[in-house]
Amino acid sequence: MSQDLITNLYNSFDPFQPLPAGDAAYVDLRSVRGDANILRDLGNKIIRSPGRNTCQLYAGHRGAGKSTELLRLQADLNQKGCFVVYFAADRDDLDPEDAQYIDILIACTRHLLDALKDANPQPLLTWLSDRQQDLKELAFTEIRFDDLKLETAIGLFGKLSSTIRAIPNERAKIRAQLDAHTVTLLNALNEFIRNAKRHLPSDKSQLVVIVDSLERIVPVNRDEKRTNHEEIFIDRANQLKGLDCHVIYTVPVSLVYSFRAVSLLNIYGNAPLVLPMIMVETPDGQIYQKGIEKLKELIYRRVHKYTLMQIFENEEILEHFCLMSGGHIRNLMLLIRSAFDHIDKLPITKRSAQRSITQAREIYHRTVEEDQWSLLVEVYKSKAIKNDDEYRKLLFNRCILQYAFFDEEGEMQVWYDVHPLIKEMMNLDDTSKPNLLIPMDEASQRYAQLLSEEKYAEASQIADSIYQMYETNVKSLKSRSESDEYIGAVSWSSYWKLRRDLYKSRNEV
Amino acid sequence: MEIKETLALVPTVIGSLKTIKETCDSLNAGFLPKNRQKLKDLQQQVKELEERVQSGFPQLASLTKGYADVSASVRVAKALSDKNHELLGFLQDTKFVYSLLIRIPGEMESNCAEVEKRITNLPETNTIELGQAKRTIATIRRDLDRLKQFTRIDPSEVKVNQSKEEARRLTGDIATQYSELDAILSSLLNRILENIGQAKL
Repeated sequence: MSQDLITNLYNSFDPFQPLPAGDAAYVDLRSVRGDANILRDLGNKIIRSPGRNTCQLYAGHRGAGKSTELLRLQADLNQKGCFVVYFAADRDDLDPEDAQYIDILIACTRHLLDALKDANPQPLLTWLSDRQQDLKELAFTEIRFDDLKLETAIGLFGKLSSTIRAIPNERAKIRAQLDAHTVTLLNALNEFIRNAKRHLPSDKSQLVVIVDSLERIVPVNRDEKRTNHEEIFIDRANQLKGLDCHVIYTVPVSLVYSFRAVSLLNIYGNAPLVLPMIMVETPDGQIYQKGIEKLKELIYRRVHKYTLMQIFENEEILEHFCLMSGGHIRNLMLLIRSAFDHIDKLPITKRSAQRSITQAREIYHRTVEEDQWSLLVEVYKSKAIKNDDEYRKLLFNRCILQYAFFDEEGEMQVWYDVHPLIKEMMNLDDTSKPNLLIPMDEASQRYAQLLSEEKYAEASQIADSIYQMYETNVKSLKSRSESDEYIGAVSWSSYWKLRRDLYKSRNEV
Repeated sequence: MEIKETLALVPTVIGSLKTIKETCDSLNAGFLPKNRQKLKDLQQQVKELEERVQSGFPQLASLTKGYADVSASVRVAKALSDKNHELLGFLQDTKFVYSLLIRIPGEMESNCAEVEKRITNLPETNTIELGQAKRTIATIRRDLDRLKQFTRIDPSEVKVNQSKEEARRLTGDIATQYSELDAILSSLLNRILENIGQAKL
């Protein structure tokens, strides 16, 4: 029974599953997120633009809850007379590590074809037929182009998408063959859309496409000043905007806060809507209890059958999780889920919570590059970011989080802070290096505890993870091999290596 | 001969003794009137030898395991002392040194306790070496008590640096004492084995 309960709870905290619209676990977080309201901020523009298309951008940190909000918007727009086609592009259509505009266009085509089966697919069938030579060269030899049907076309675009997503070599070939034909594909798709709009169900008057998960596209520098984000969202903006219906694309938050912000505003006609983090601290470093309470409510809604005290040893643990998440919902889910990994029976103890936090902290520690520590300290002190790629990288990696609130005059204040998991590792006296002692102190306590319980194998694992962390540090400090930090890192590394191996004979026993 | 080889011989010896005993039992003393007493004596000797080996073998096995446990614990304790000694030599950053000073004694103490416990668990013997081992442990404990004082020092640079040198000396001394302890234990084992050989256990 107890194990079933833990399994159920564990699955309630799935960090990668957005909540469907109307889910009882949904919590309205507007009041702690700078009043961000997707139904009003994005939805109203669509509802109020019946005669013309809108193209809007939606940004926010990955895992902040955008998909949940977009699914809510989809349901709301459906109720208000819109036919909404929603898809998460990274699920079946593109590889976030290497994505280009054509991948998005093919994905849109596939999902629209699939969702609008009452429309006449002929323009797209003709386009495919015209491309048969190219497609045959791409090994789509089994397709009979002389008798193309809607289902075949859906399958073909589906195969193109899944190949683009999964097979890098084939991806390059597809792009090489089809990139020159994006304009004709867009035209054909628009013709299809126009026809579809005439065949929408009687209670629907507008067509909306929501393309989610594009914010996950990893930034890649193309040349000195440009990234793939700019290629997609700036250079190809006219094509992104070119769909003959309302469109919402998610965009990387790092692009929204780049020097390209004005370009985005000019091109898309409105500033991207950004979903901020839930404030758990105020800019002056005080705990923001209202935010913490909202996060606690969010947890409670997921485990509503049980009291929080059945799950957490005490309230302090729960609040510590909320604080350490930085108001980032996926982080909170991950932290709690990981704590479940360290217990055999409820409740989540202080120790299992700390293990979960330490593990997450180690991951963040590895994410930060050596020369970024000083930038983080700057952000921590100024609560602002500079218009620089390095800050954007940190924003993209969620090492820096964005928050918003309305001040007493009703003015929205946007501010930034270092992720709390990293904050504890920062060395505020010396901005050039991380404080390596924090993870070590925690690990030492756990290690000592495990030794006292004669759990040598587990102790060895902890020692190994700390050893690996210092090894990473040693590598990054190699260019400063005369420095105290390098010597320190080498020394600690060898110390933890020894501790890893020290009790091996007892492990074997 | 290695201990494990010696131990491997024991079952063979027991087996051979059994065979000799069976052979003696099967001999008809009537055919050996002059040597009847000698055969009787031989049977008695074989019986006694078998009893001694059989009672001594588990003791020897337990002794060997006990010794291996102590030896492993001593090596672990020495390795950690050596590493702490080395670290105190390398680390320059006061914060790092302070962090090390406050955490050194804990694990070193539990290692020492482990060694002590395992020595106590050795089969009871009354040897010079056991006395020496106990005295060495007492010295290590004294040094550990001194090390423990550094867990309460002021984290200022001057204090930390002063304590660092003293702690380094102490960890070095402790490592040396563990080396001595290892040698003492080795000699203790030899003496115990000799005793077994001479059936004085």
